[in-house]
Amino acid sequence: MSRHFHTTALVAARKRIPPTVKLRPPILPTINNIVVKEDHPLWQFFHNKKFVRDQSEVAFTGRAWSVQELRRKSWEDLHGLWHVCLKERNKLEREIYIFRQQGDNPVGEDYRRLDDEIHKSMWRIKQVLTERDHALKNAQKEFKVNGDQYLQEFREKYLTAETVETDDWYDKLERLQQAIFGIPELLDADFKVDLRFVEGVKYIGQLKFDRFAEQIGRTDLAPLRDVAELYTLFEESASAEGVAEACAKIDEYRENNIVIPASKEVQVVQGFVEDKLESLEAE
Amino acid sequence: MANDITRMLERLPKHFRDLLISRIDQSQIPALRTNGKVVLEEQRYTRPEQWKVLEGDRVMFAKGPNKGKFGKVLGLHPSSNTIYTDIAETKPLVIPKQLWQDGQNGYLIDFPKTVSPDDVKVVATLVKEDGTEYDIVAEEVIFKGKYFDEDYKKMMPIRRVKYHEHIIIPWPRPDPAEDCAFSTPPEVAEERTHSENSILKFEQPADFTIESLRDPVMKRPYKWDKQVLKKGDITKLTAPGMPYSETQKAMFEERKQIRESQITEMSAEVMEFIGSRVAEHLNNVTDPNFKHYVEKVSGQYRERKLARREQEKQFRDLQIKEAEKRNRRAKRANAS
Repeated sequence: MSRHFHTTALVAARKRIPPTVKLRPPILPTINNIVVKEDHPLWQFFHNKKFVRDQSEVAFTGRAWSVQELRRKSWEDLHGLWHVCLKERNKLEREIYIFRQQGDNPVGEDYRRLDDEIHKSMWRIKQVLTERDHALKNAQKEFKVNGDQYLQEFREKYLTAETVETDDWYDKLERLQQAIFGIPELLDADFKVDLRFVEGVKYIGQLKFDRFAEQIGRTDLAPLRDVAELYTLFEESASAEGVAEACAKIDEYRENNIVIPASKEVQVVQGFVEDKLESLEAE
Repeated sequence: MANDITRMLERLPKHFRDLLISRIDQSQIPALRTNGKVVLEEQRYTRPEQWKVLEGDRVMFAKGPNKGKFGKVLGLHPSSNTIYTDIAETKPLVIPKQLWQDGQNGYLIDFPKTVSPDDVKVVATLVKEDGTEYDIVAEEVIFKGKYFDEDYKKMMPIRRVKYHEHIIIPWPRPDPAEDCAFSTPPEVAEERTHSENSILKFEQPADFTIESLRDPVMKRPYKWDKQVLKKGDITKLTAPGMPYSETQKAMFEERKQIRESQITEMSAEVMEFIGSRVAEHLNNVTDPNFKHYVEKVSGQYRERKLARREQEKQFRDLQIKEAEKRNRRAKRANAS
């Protein structure tokens, strides 16, 4: 317990360096003493780890991407371009900030112009994506109103055409499948069948049967009973031989006397698709 | 920052804008002063039709100390809508070190003054039939027609001499632009990697929504996703009915009906009725002066007057002819 009111000497005594400690020259605070990791994420805000680029390095002769050019680009391309633009703007923004700190140094104007040009590309990407989104929504809304009529018209054209065993008509069928029922040309390994897919299978299967049944003399099979029969028709090629082959399979199938109920259709078609993918893989 | 200032300036009334610009100029070093030559962003020239001359053009000066001399356009200065030329007045300017150009070794330079494109006239070289070349100076140029220029990589207007539109002054060839580090090769830019092929979904991921493009902290609702449209919105979203709106068409129809319903020709009965009433009134006139006046203005009075004048004229002509004959006879008598 101290007998004095003052404590400074006692506090100072605690901090006093013991004579055993050897004094060394002070380490001056300098940037060279700081080691930054090579893969530090903040390096992404620097171009080649430079503090500020030269004016010549930001000089550009081109222009921003136009909306017309961007409309031709896929989602992956647009996403990639956006990412590149964003990273470049991050670098530029940091450099512009440095020039702003120097009392609005006019050299920063070059950096700013490049920044503006890249910004143009970026808002145009947004514009293109918005356009696509609206186009998709409009098409879906339109299809709800006029879809059945469109499919009916296509059916009439297909049934009344002189010959449908041409490349032109094969392409048309393929495009219709893809556009309206979302049936892709090549199925992925983890493809999930939905109601729309089943609708497409039914529509296309019935269409092929109606077109070729009379020609190959198999009208006795009508009406087709369930989705399994329609899927058989859907899978075969859109020609007289294809439909004849499918009809032979249907004959075999009908011997079992099974009719698939509507509630099981999606499951059944999923099974068919998986079987097909497996058989393709085995080949 | 400079951009922000110009954007801010453009929103201000002119008198306040000028005051602010002069204040900003006062605070700047001389090299960076605008000297009152700031052109607002929306008034800056962007198209060749506005510039009339481009980099590389030969021009004749029509104003200023170099009037009558021939020169060349070295570049455009868009922030003041003026051009740099190879012979130009210069003014001494102190340049801060960070703005020094290559090869500069002093603070003081002679900085060339710019010229308005209205003060120069473009020079064109024409070829005679025998192959000799000669220059013409176009007093005025006009632009008619467009073509795709391979070197400029865009549609360019065709520059012609006014009142001699068959004389086309071609644009100067620009320096070939080299690709920079930020350029994309044309074949990559033109390659098509997207085509809409389904109404169910495009290739974007399922969790993508268009709302995610917007700033999440922005409170303002998206301007075209309005639940209730106001009158102004409907006007903006409705394409103009060409050539006339429904209201205008209704107005034209109404006017046509009014025009058709109006009587333009008087029927015989009406004319008879009006004539009888007028005749009745005139026959009952008792005042002699008024009677005289009525006779005077009636059709017959005028015909009689014209006939009398015609007669008088014929008589006068006859008298003149006789007098001429007499004079000729007298002349002959005197001569003999």
